[in-house]
Amino acid sequence: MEIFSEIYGKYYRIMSRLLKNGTQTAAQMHDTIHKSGFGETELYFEPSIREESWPLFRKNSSGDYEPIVKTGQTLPPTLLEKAWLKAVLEDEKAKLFLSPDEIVAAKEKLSDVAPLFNGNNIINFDQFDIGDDYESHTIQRHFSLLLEAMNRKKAVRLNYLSARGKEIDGLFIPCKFEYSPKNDRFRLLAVELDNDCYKGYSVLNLGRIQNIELIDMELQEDYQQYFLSKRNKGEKIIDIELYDERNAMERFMVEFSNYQKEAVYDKERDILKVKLYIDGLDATEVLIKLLGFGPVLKVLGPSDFVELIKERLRKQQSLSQN
Amino acid sequence: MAGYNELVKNFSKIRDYMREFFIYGYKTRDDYDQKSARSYDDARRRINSLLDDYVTFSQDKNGRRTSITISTNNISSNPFYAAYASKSFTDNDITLHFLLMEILDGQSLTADEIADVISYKYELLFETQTIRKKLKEYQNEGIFLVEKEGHANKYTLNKEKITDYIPKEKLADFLAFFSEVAPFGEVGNYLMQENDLQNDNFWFKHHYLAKVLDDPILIDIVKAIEEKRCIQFTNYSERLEDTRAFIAFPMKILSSVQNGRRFVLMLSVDRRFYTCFRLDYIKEVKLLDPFPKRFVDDEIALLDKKIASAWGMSVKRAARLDKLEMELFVDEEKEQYILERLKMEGRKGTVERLGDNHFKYTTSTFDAGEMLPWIKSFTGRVISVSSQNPKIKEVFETDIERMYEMYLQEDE
Repeated sequence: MEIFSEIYGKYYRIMSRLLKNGTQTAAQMHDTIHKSGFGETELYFEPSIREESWPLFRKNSSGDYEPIVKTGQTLPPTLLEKAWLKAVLEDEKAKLFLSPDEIVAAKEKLSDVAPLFNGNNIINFDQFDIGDDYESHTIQRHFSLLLEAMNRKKAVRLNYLSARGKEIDGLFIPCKFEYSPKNDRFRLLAVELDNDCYKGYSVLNLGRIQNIELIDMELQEDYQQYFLSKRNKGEKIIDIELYDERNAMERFMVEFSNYQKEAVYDKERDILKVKLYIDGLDATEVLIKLLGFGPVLKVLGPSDFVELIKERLRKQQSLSQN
Repeated sequence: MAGYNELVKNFSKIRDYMREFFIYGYKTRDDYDQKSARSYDDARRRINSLLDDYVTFSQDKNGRRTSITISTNNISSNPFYAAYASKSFTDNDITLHFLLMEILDGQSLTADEIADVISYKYELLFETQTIRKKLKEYQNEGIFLVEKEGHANKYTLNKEKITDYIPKEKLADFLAFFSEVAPFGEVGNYLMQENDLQNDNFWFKHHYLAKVLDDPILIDIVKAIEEKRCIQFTNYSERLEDTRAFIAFPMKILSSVQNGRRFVLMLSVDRRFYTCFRLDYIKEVKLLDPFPKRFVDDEIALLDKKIASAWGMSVKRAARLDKLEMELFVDEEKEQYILERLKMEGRKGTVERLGDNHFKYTTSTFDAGEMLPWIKSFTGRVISVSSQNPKIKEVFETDIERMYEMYLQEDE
């Protein structure tokens, strides 16, 4: 079982597509390769067909390429894929997607396959202890209804209990689930509706949803654009300088590798200047993380963000003095 | 162009550079002095080809920089999976792949019979030995099924479909989710590509993408853990800038969902101590003999017990636990979320109310020093920190003093 193998590679997939396309002109072939390949794939792919190093096409009398293999067969699931599937079926989150019967049936069919990994041997040691209860039938049912709404492009009526105990009852268009392995929780990203109008962008914890009802109503086509425009609003850029102390540069760059950033090393001062792009909604989380680094970095801006750090330090100072 | 190809034979050729360009995008070409300039230029070109949309080049007085920049919150699929689709192959490999898939679709044939079909139907010549090798390879991958007829092996295409396992209407969502979240997600991604599926419904937060680059190493290590075997491996120490070989017994993979690092917890072969090695620094792995059977069960049971008291990587066989206490000021009316934080982030620590707005968090762990970043994240609320290791209090206080100087002195 090879995990890095050409049978899963881009070139084989392109070849399969070309064979399925049947007889084609050089231009059509070029178009397919260009659209589906890596940046330079056409430089290697086309000559190999033209010069018959890969003799799977022959030129006919009109100069078109005719495949000698007619099917471009799709791969059956390989042993590697089945072994992965078997391991994944042990994950309790599989219950969100499949019914107990479907899980049992899949496991039975895979009974002669050894799982690719054993989840008990891979420990997420710093995962927060607040995860959704995936054994809960309510969570499973809500998850499944929301996925159905997303796939069928339907609105839902939701009854939701906020963290502050406020009950919300409203119409929403479910757009995406957002999963965080750190929290082991799902959040629903949705557009809130007021009659036919978009009322805003909402982030709702799956575990706090009390009730869901699918609503049969025509949705306007532009809700996805509205959703994306709201989602991408509120970006903040944090300016940071990092000092070469306690391996701070490496630690920071790895820990913040899930954020978009620009980093420039200043050789003369031996510091790393970083611009960190964050979602405004994540500001507190990022602030807490940065405080955890202590004095091996300094936040330079924006001023309102620096003020939040100063405020915490002033509070700390007064606690220490008392 | 001679010698260069956008595909690679060995994954390690792209693993290191992809990780470097992604994590350390600030490094210039000159910083990669341990590798040849040619290898750097090839890697840069190849990675640009594979990850076109995410690669940026820049130049300043320090030199030329290549970086991979990805905002992970809004992506539907890990861009590094492109690396897994870039394995090179020979002309024979690709030709035989498609010929055999068609020839063996619905019929069972021996290698000799296949050679005949290739010759008369497709007018191509392949040595039976070459065909036999490919058949064996695909049999091992589960693509072809084999049955004996006399002395000869007859092969046929396995006609299974993924929908034999997962219902068709649920397949896209199932694979879209687990190919990003489960270990070895690239395998889920292979299934998605093969079945023309895409992720329409999931985004991911706290999503550490580069860890998938370690999977070809991880697959051998999880195999060793499962088979209870020792491994020989080479480890690159960034601190010492040195590569060394070790032999140890791997027992667990410790994965951080907060900072993206993964470690392999190993037991020394003399059973004296545990060590954690960063997975991204392990370069080569070779599976050795099984760990002595008479010790295995006891060692696994001991580790399970020990690991329950670990805060992070530090797990010790003999050492006593460090007790750590942190007293905090928490406004009970307005700051219930801080108490929530202590509960959900405190990894089995206890929280006790000492008085109005005054709480104490207590835990015991192998190395309270590992907790310092977490303790500092409560800056503004910490009344006191105490531990059997006096260094903890000292570092906390010194760090906070330095931060006062950094941020507050300018206001005075």
